[in-house]
Amino acid sequence: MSCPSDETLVMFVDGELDAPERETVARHVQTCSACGESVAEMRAVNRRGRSALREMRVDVQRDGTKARRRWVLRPMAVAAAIVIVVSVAAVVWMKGHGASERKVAQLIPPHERTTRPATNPLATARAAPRLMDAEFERWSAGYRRKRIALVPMEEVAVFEPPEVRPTGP
Amino acid sequence: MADKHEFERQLESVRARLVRSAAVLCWAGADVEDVVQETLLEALRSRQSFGDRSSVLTWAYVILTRVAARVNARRRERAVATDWAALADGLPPVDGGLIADEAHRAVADAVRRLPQRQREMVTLHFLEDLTYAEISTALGVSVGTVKATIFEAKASLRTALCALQKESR
Repeated sequence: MSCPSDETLVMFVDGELDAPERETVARHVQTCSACGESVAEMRAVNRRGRSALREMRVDVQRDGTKARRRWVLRPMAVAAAIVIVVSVAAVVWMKGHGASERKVAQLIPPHERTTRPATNPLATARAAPRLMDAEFERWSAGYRRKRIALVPMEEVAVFEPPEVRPTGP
Repeated sequence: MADKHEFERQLESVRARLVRSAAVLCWAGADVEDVVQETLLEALRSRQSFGDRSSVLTWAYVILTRVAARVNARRRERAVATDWAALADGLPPVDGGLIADEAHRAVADAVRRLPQRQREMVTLHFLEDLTYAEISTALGVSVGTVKATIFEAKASLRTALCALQKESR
């Protein structure tokens, strides 16, 4: 038989020929040194190609993918940190606010203190004027002792100072 | 058709093989992980089109080749001036971290220099040991096209290997 084409030899090496053709080519290759050499080279291409590609290790840390991921994650980490800081600040503020309310509540005379739980919004709403009154009473007591008149804020805007006339000697 | 969880499990089981193939198909190692992620997402989204096919791998491979081609094209568009020499030669930027062995890297580079279609077929042929008929089914081309394309690819690789052997002498 004449030498098979290179395409046929490639298919022979790849096991793509049907049985009768494979037998024929195999017999020829054993006797033809040129075709035998071609087949050896094609087998080398397959062997080296396979082992080279299978040797590839995809190390995402070394080729920069992971580094880029970190940049993607960084804004998320910053956002999470902001949320945590705001939450902690809110808790601290609420605790502080609660303490100041308790201080104010201590100013109320015992007989005026409500027996209802402070967490009841209705009770809180009812107690609010009392809290304000008690604080105001306490604050204004010093002024009253010194006989200093307290003018409501609404009247400050229209307050006209009394006319002061110079007194003669 | 397998249920969603079973389908996800099957996809996960071929993930490592997709990564290895993506490392050959992608021009830049930094794209490998992204390409595989995009492929898996696309595969999950288009689960309905999987139908009653037997192999998740070959089906996922079709998506992988499409995604890799898209990402390579995007990278070519964005290539900075310094990469032009490499791109003009058809050689992707070499990732030193992929292969430790110098000889293997040279062979893998020769594979990666192949035109897109040849590279896809050789990758399936070398890495997944698919037959010509299986490759034709996976990539949606005729067996004759696969024969001709693989023949051309192997001829190029054979020339490259001969050059490598001469250099090493």
